[in-house]
Formats: sequence, structure tokens, C-alpha cells
Amino acid sequence: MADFRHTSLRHPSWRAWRRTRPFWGGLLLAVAGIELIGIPLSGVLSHGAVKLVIYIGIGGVFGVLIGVLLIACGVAVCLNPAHRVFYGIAGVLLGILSFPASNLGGFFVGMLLAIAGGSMAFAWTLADEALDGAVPGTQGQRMLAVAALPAIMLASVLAAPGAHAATAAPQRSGGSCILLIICMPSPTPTPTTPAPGPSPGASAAPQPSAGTPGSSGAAGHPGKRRAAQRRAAAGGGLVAATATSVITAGSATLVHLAYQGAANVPAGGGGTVRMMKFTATSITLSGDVTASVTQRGPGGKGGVGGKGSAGGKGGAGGTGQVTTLTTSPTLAFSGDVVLYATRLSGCLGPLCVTLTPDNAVTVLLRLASGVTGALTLTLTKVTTDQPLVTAGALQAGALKISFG
Amino acid sequence: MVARHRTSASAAGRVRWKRLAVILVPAGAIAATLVGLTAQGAIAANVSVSGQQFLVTATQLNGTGFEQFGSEVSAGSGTQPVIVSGIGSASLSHLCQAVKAGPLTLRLTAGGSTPVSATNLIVDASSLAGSSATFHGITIGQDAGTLTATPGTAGAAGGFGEQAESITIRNLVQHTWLTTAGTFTLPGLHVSFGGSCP
Repeated sequence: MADFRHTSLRHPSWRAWRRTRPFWGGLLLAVAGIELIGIPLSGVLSHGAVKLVIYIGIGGVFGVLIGVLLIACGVAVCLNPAHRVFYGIAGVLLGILSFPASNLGGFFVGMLLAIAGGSMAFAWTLADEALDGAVPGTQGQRMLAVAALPAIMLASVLAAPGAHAATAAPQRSGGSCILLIICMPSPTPTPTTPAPGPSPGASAAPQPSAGTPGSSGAAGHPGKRRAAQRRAAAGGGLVAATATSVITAGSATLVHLAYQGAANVPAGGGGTVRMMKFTATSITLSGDVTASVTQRGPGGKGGVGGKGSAGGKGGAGGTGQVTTLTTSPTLAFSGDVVLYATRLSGCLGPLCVTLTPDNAVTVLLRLASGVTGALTLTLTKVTTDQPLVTAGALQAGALKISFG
Repeated sequence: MVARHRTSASAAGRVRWKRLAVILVPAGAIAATLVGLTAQGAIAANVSVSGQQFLVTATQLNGTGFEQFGSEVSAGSGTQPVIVSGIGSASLSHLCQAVKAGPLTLRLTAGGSTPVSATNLIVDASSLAGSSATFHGITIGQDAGTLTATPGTAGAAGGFGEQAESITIRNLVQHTWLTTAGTFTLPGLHVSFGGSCP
């Protein structure tokens, strides 16, 4: 270090300082690092954009980490040229690593800058080392190349972005790692096993879901599904949401509807909710089906979702109220449908009724209990409060979920 | 090293082109291979662009281990409500993702012939639409805190959630704040500037 300081004192000009160290290589490394960090931060820097910076998982960490290391390499190689080989190779490796780990290497730019900069730092040598027969080059050539190399690389990216995909060429690995280091950025060991790419189904994924794992092929295993539904109906793990939710529909066609009595269903956050329990072989809603979910209050961070979800003003302690609307022309539930609800209203022809857990039996009896046992029952102007539905299958028409 | 610097009058140096080629050629080859393998979907890439909404479309989404609930993401001046969808294992056909990066729109497409696949895909969207949707083994109205379809992802207790064993959505259109995935394979990757998703 002392030697370099001494040198730069004897030649105090900026140009002399540059010439005594792999300055351009270091600069490219640092620029690459800044670019890699900058991509995820662009939303913060760009005017008018919502300043949202959230990183979940290893992706965001790697992007920032690689960027910081590249900047450190760039600075260090200028301050300590004696170790330029180490910094140069580290820069090249970080640049390559950034491709799978950080937004495709900052969309190619950061990766190419890092590889170019690292290579130049590695290839930089002192003038008196040139005696060992290296190819002579003039200063003019060097400067030209320094400017041209990254420019050519950048131009090739910008001009022909598809070319990189085209380089895909014939080689196709079995999906295993090429180098150990390439496997590292993945938080799961998946890449070491054959990549799931070619098998779109990927149905082998172990999913400890409530129902029967892997029996996605609906009709294939009706027995299994029925068993799963029975398990769910028995209350195994079924916990009702407490957010305000309403499903409305122009009409509902219910096949083999049966009232199973009032049930106390466990509710989220403790306690139980008294709900009516119906079973049916299928329920088809049509006519502007709308599911609306509203949640408010500071208690429920995140809150509500799914078929109509609303994010309450959670953690921050706000008291805002958000309504999520899910709309679809039709929602067809089938396969041992179980419906829980705190309130159900609808019209059977001219006669409109409202069922609650307290009056359901009376009303249904008055309606002529024979009707509910009939094969098919069609209600109009249907409103269901606090619905909790399990079904073997749901077929939805044009679905749209948005915030109201 | 120090001794050599002392003997050198100027200690100036320059880039040796043979030396440069020694490292640049193999590095370029590795990088090109990596890009190629990623484009073929053999290697999972990690894409986590955030900071602005971006558009995601796909002609078809198939997933197993699906769950959905409401949440929010912090934004500069407040919070944004989002619909969180978690899919344990997803495949997307004709995935298109359009991100505004300053004045440019970056368009990323993949999964033309072989679908894009992702594991532990979590999407925070402000809106979601599809021309049709099919769910199997579905539960709607489940407490968001008790969702189990996508391990490690659940909402707040009391919230409204749903989950399904499997899901198929056609012509998916999402406006997304944040997408993360354990692994993302992008066969037929194509990155270009300008344009938007259909």
C-alpha cells in the first residue's frame, strides 16, 4: 500500500493513479454491483412509483449480497492491485452467479459488466512484467478496448435480446447442477433433482393438504374424495373465517339439498360460530354471482382473502376497511358439497324466506319438508352470510377478483 | 510483490490480452451455457422484481396445493391490499411478465411449448382474473390462519381464506406487486424491451 501511495505522490495526476492499478476493471465491477442492487430498488428511486420494497426469501438477499460483493471487489482491486487476480476471479464468478440468483444477472447487464470487469482486473499486469513475452499493446489500443468491450456486450444485449435465448442451443442437461455453486442460490434442493420443467404436471409434489394428496383428477377417485370430504365435514381442521363475507347470486340450483341441523364450528381466533349445515350433491350459483368479503380493524393483519378477500389495515394498527369482490357468471360446486352459513335467504317462487340457525327447522317444516328432499330445488335472489363451503370440485366461469 | 514495485520506476501496467482471453473465454462459455440452460428450463432462475406493479399473464395455470387469502404489502405512504395466492407446484403456459423499468418496459416471456414451472409460488396481486377456473377439493371460507395447502404460508387468524387440492385457471391476468418462488424454471425464456403482454 505504502508503495502505491508513494507512487501516486510522485505522479500526482489522476491519470497516473489510474495507470498504476487495474482501474477500468475495478470500475466495471463496481458498476455491475450497483446495477444489480439497483434493479430491485428501481421502484424506490423512480418518481411516482409506490415505494414498496419487500424481499421474501433468498432471492432478494442474493441480489443485494452479490451487488455489494461486486462493489467491494471493484474498490478493493483499485486499492490493492497486488491481489487483482483474486478480485478478478471473484468478480467473474459473482457475475456468473448473479444470473440464476439475481434477476437474470440484472437482466444480463450486471452479469456482463462483472465478467468484463473481473476479466480485465485479472488480465492487468505491471509494465515490467510484460518482459515475459506477452503480446505488446499500445496505450491507445488498451483504451479503445476498454471502452469497446462492454459497449459491444451491451449492444449485443440491447439489439438482440432474443439472441440469448437462441444460444440455448442443443445441450440439455438432465436437469442436474453443472457446478456446485449454481445449485446454491436455490432455497430448496430442487435443482439437484431433475428440474420440474419438462413435466408440467409436477403432481408428485408432496402436499400435506387437508384433502387427499395428489388426487387432483377429480372423477378418478370419487370414493377417496368422499372420504376426504367426510373428514372435513367431521370438523377435522375446518375453521371458519370470522371476516364479514356474503355471497349473493341471482339464482341457486341445489341438488339433493339436506339440512343437517345447527353446528358449532370452530372460528378463527378462538371460539365457535353457530352455523346451519347443509349438504348437497351439487350447488350451482348463477346470475351475477358476487362474493364480498370485508374486514376491518387492527386485529386482523392481512385479513381476508380468497373468494373475495380484503386486507385489513393489519399490523400497522390502522382501522381501515377493505372489501374484496369476487365476481363470476356462474359458480358450480359439485362432489359432496357441504355448506355452512349463519344466514341464508332466498325465494322459492313468490315465497321468500330467511333461514338462520334458530329458525331453520321451523321454516323448513313450514315450507313443506318434502320440498327440501326433492331432487332439485331452485332458489332466486339468494344471499348467504358467512359461507363456509367444502366441495369436491368448483367450476367457475369468467372469474374476477379485485378490491372494491 | 513489494520488491518488484520498488524496482519499477512507474509501476504502470496494462491489460494483457492473452491473459484476458484466458479468463474471459471460459467465463463467457459458462455464462452462455447458464443462460442457455435457463432458457431451456433446466436451471431454475430467481426473479424477484418488486417496487411497482407488474402485469402477469398466462394462457393456462395448473397448480396443486393452492391457497388464497387477503393480506397487504407496505407501500411508501401506507399499505396496499393484496390477494395472496400460494401454489405448492405450478405450471404456467405462455407466461408473460411486463415490468416498467424507468422509461423502458421490460417484457419477459417463457413457457411457449414447455410450460414454465414453479414451486412454492407466492403471488401478491392487486387483481386477478381468468376466463374460467376449476378447483378440486376446495374449501371456501376457511380461516386464513389455518390454511395448509402451501406449507409455510398462511394468513392472519380470523381472515377469510380458501384452499384447494388442485386448480386450473385459463387466461390468467394478474396485476402483481410481488412474486416469489422457491424455484422458477423458464423454458423458452425471451427478454425484450417494449411492448406489453396480451
